[in-house]
Amino acid sequence: MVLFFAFLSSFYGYGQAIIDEPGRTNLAPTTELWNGLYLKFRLSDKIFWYQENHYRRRSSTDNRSDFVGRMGQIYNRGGLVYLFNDQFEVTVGPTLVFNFTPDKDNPDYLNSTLEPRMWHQWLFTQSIAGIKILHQFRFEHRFKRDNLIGAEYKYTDRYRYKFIAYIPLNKPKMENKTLFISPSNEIFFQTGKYQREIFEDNRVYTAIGYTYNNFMFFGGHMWTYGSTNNPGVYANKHVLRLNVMYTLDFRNKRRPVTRSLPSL
Amino acid sequence: MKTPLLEVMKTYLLLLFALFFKFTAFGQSESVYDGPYEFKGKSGQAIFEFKEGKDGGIILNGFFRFDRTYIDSLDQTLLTKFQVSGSYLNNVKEGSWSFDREWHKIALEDVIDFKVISELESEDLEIKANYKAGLPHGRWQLYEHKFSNNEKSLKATAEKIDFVGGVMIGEVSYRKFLSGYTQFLRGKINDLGFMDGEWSLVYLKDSILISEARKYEDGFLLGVVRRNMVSGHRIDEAIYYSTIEKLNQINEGTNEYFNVSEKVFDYNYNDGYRMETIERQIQLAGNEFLSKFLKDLLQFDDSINKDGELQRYPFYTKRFEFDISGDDLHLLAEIPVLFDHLQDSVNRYSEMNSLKLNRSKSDSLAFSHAFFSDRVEKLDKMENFVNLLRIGEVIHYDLTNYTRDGVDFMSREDEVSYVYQDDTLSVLLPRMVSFGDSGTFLQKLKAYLDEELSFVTNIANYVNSRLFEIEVNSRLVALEARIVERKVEVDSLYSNHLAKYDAEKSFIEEFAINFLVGRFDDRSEIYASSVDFESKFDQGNVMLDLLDELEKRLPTIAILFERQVALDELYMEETFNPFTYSRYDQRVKERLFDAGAILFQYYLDNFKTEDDYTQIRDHISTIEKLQDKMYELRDQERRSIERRLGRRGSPSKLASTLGL
Amino acid sequence: MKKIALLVAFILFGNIAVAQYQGQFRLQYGNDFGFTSGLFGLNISGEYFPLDKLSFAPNLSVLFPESGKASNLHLDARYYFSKEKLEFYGLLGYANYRRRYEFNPEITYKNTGTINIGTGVIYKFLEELGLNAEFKFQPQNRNEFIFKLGISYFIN
Repeated sequence: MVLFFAFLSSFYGYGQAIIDEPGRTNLAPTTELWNGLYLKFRLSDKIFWYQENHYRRRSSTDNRSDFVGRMGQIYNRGGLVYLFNDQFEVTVGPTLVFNFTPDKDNPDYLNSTLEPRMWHQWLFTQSIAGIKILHQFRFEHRFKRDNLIGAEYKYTDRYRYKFIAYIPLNKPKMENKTLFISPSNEIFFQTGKYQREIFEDNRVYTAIGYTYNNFMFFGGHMWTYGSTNNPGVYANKHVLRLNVMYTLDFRNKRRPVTRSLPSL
Repeated sequence: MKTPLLEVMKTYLLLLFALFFKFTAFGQSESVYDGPYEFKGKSGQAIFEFKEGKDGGIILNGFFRFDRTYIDSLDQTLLTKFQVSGSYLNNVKEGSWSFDREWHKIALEDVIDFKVISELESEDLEIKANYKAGLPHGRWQLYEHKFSNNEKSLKATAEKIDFVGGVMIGEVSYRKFLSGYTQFLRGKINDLGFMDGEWSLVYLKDSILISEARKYEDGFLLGVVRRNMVSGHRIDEAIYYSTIEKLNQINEGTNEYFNVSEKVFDYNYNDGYRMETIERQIQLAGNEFLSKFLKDLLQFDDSINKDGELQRYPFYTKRFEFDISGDDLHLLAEIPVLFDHLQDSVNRYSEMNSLKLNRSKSDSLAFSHAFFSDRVEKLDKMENFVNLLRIGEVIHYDLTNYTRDGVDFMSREDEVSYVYQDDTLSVLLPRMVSFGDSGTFLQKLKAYLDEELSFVTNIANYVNSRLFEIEVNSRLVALEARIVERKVEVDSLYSNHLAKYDAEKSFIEEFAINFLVGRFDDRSEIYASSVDFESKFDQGNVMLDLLDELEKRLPTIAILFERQVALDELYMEETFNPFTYSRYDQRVKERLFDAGAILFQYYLDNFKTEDDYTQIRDHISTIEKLQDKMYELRDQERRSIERRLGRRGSPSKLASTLGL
Repeated sequence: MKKIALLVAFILFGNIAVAQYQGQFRLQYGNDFGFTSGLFGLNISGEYFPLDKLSFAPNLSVLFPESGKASNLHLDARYYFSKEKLEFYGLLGYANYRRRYEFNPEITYKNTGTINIGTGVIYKFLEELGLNAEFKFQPQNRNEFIFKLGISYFIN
């Protein structure tokens, strides 16, 4: 927490627009708190069901550093995963995000809008000296609209690449009961009728985690820097993320009802 | 004279008769046999008359003739001839018989004008005998000739031997001629067949020509004198005073406790004298000559048996018969029994290997061993006399004569010498009884034997207990040596044991300290403090058993730890973490596994503190069952067990939850 | 529960066959499209077979209108004329359509019900998964014709 404030105070003051360069305006940083539950259920040797459910809060308009002032999103992502092998898997599925109003008291805003997406992901993994490295290519097809009443849905395609490293600390490689750090960086690109700029977002995430049997506890600080709806204006956020991952293996647990002869 | 071969021959002959000869008549009619026959062991040809007996046997009846001419197969120059002729009456010799045996050695010298020139050396024996009812009866004559260098010379002769019913009667005279001098015997036998009057013998003994004169009176020998024939010196002399005295007493009627025996005895006259006495020794040479004469004369008669020994004597001597007092009568039976008993014991101990082997262990044992050997010798000396008692001959022994010079097996001085640690030592046995005591000889002998028996018994008992002790000690020593040996083996087995796992190593170390040091020392103390052999031996065996058990169980205990590690692996499952995309082993059924591990540790702790080595097996099997159960439960879908295990309980509760 | 259902099955149908799909649970995700309204939606459903060949499948579609919100809650019963790999079924049910308007001055919220009639097919391409295509007609009120494409996960 102290580090965060140190980080924040490195920026000049609160609530002021800062002009670093002509043509680029960096907004003052805001804070968010994202809590996530990730589930991955093994349905068969190759098929998984993947699901994420997030409860995201953001800082209040007048207090950019309170993390939880306003409701942010309820984020639900699911998909079917096909594991080709330990090094490559593909996921396809829907996402349904509930975007909440930026100002509860403002009647011009709908309380929440629905943002459906279809996404697919191509994941490559590799191991180097006990460190796991993941290359995650995620593509989303998103229908999003503003909370303002009457706003229209805008369709965009998003292209994301995330580089993740899992570095075990107390064990030689990533295994059970392993304490690890996980630095990652994700870059977002978007295209769409309404988009002026291709670069959408960049997220730097340093996390620390611990695997324990079927659970993984994962959390850390993420800093995002990305474009806004206003061209030339960029926003950045400090996001505190807390996640729990849970996995279950449903193979051999299914007990299919016996099929027998067709009735006479 | 019916040899088995003869029996076979007889049946063979019968067949021959059937084939080749005609019977004139059955039953009483005489038949003649002419064919091979065996006479006195020699095979030849015989012709004789016979009749058939009731059972089909042959009864010799009538004339008999046997011829044997034999040329030695190896030395073709030797020719023996043997001719017998006589007659039988109902299978027994009857009437005149003549026996003629010749040996000829023919040395071929030359053949001139187809005439054989050869050198002949012969010997010839002729016996003319007379029989009645199978016994010598009538005049017998013996001639032995020698033919050499074309000269026939007389070798031996007995011209007038008269038998009556198998007994020689009257004058007996026999001469034997040997290179240069004559041996002869001359004597008289009274009508009852007893040697009587003057007997003279001249014979060669040890290259000395001895002239012997004997005086008999009605079968009793009164005196013998021997002289060197050549020099005339007297060699030895024996007057049988005791015999004379006794005869006088009989004549006067003052004989008490003895009389003349009605039995007859051979020419070895013995009035109760021991063999080494002059009275016995002096007769020996002469009797030998006498026996040679008789054997020569009667060689074809039944009185000579197959082995060439006289079995029926043609003349006799007499002896006295002594009364055994009433008190002593029972001793006649008791002494031989006692003697036999003594002899058995003494023989047994003198042959006892363990006594022989251990005699050098102590002075007393050395003495004991020597004692028994000494007794064996002593009893041997006694044996002759005891046999006399046994067969009843002692009544013909004048015990005064017998004990005249003392009895060599009954001396006051009874010394046994022995060797111990290279020293020759001796012990004087404290004899109370000796020959000199009062009482009859038999009584003294019995008392002596009793005393002997008590010595033997005492010493035997001592030997027994000592040998037992030695055996016991040696067994204990062997046992202790074995224990030490085994302890070293088992100790090194445990210290050299290479444990694969730390838990195994530490457990086995503690286990070894508990049993190999702690319990073993306890047992050693008990062993040391036991006094008697039985309990010591038992304790020693317990210690050996403890060591055996420890040795046997070590590999099993080591395997228990291996199994535990295998269970650990069994309860791990390889999982794929779908978030980190790594594969690793993860514990499966954690609660169940933990419960198993807790129980395992609990059982191990119990095991470590065990006192009784016989329980080791049980501990091992408890742990084994636990591990088997854990193995079984691994694949079972027993959710209920997992749930129940959630509430941690005591080890016994855990055990019951698992179904142990 | 199973035993009672069995008993019911025996009594009602007099079948001597052992239960087939009875007691089966399924989860389904699909995307549907209403031809009349033109609304695209995400559909999640669960299915349970209380009886052999007969299942109860409630499902929820979240629709994406241009403004406001819409959703459709279906309570369907399906009857399977099945084969092993390819399962055909007929559908009958009830649907509740909810519509929240964003800036309609008159109505902010509409709630109508209708009957569902439809048919569908499930192709079991894996032991655990099947591909599902469904046609549904809602004659009342909206006169909607919905096509759904989805994936079924066979829980047991």
